[in-house]
Amino acid sequence: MASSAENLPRSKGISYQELLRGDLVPPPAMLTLENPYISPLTSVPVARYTDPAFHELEMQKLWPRVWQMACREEEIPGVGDYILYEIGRFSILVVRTSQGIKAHHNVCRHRGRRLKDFDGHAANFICPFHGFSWNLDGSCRSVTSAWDFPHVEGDEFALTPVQADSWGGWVFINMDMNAGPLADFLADLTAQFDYWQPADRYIQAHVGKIMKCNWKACQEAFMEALHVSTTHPQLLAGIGDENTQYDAWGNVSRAITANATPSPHIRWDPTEQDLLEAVSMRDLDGPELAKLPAGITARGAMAAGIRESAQELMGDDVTLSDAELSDSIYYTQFPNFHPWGGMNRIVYRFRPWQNRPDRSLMECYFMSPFEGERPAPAPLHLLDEDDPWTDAPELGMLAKVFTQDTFNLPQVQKGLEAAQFEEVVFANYQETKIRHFHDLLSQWTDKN
Amino acid sequence: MTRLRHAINGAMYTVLPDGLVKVENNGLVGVFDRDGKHHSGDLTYADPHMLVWLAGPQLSDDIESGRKHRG
Repeated sequence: MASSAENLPRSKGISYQELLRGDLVPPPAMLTLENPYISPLTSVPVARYTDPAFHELEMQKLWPRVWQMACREEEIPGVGDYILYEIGRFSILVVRTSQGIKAHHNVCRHRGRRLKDFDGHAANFICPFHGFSWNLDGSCRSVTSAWDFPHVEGDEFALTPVQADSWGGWVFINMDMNAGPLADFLADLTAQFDYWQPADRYIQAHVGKIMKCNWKACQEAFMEALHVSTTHPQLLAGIGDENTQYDAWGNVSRAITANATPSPHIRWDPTEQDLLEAVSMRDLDGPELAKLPAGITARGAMAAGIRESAQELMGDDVTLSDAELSDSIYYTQFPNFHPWGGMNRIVYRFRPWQNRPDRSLMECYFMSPFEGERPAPAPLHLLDEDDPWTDAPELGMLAKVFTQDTFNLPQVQKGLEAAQFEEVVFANYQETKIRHFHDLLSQWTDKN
Repeated sequence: MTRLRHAINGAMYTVLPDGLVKVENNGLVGVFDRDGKHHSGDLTYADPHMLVWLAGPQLSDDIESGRKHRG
């Protein structure tokens, strides 16, 4: 068991901070921070991924109490626009009103029918069963045959309220009306992430896929680089997987995996040209890449290329460091929100699918900068559990990377359900984010 | 993508016209399907993720040829 950050063994590869010191355009201050996570937790029960009782515990103690991302503000641009946010058995209406964004449980206060079955636009919410209706702000609008309900007070017959608040263009909800403010819950994330102005991005792509595994098993596959050498071997020559830096603060954890640097796992010394070809995923039978000029590193060339594209879109005054342009900077805001920093467009969200412990919904957003008027957000492109990721070409080559992850995940779930041992074990350092997540999850599920 | 060398063990993976993958490593050769099942040859094990990458579901040629980002 590790007792201090200094004592944690690390990969023999170059450290991320050392790599940063060689960059031509230095990084913003938050990327030079290090805050290794120290915890005695090295394993968790298999039951966390398989047992309906643990799933129910999450449904009682986590999801109804925690702030969670529900949608983007741009998905409900006009008064009356609403989305359904569904988490397990809960269904929440998130609606734009003339007083701002509100949220309510999607349940008729009369006999309990769900008011809406899909996203849309409404002047008010009318129950399709008996016609009771509610205003967008949740107040009761009408009671059918009101003379027959003398015991129903309209003022007390509002839809069950849910807290709603926003950060960076993302709308979060919390079913616990006594929960503290969103700003407090997100404070450690926003302290670092506001720098990248997340509100000034739009949904260029939004793809979801039903995954044959528990939501935690799914998201944990995207919280470490330990799996890269085995699951994504085509990336190895140009990715600092084992020497990824991991940190945690409060409700947020972070990993930074450098690109255009060789994996410590490989036993040969790639040239800078080899590194460039690796990050470009060049087919050996494909066209040759331009030769790097002497003195130019693959990392520098990669950053320069992306910087040029970014400046075309965002203007010449955009100053982006090599690290923000080249590296994978992936945050996890407890419990299931995963925005990537720098110029990277990725945001992930993972949650249970249809209240099942063995199915989850994985979503990938591409959040892109834009110039001028905000483009319309891409609608969700939902893939069924047997649809290949390559049915979503808007994800580019990431669809093939996800295909490799999806080759594992159903087998992880099947293996866990058949396991004849009690606990899964985690690495001290490279699985920092997963250990941090489970420590927080325990705090929530242990609460009275 | 049709041909790729494994960065750790140096094995060469080549997609064949029938969609199977020929793998050459340390003088041995084997042919596998995209799920890792051995079809023929003296080499009887190949990296399943290399096989998925090369012979699993593919993107259109224009996306493949424009490959330059991971997100």
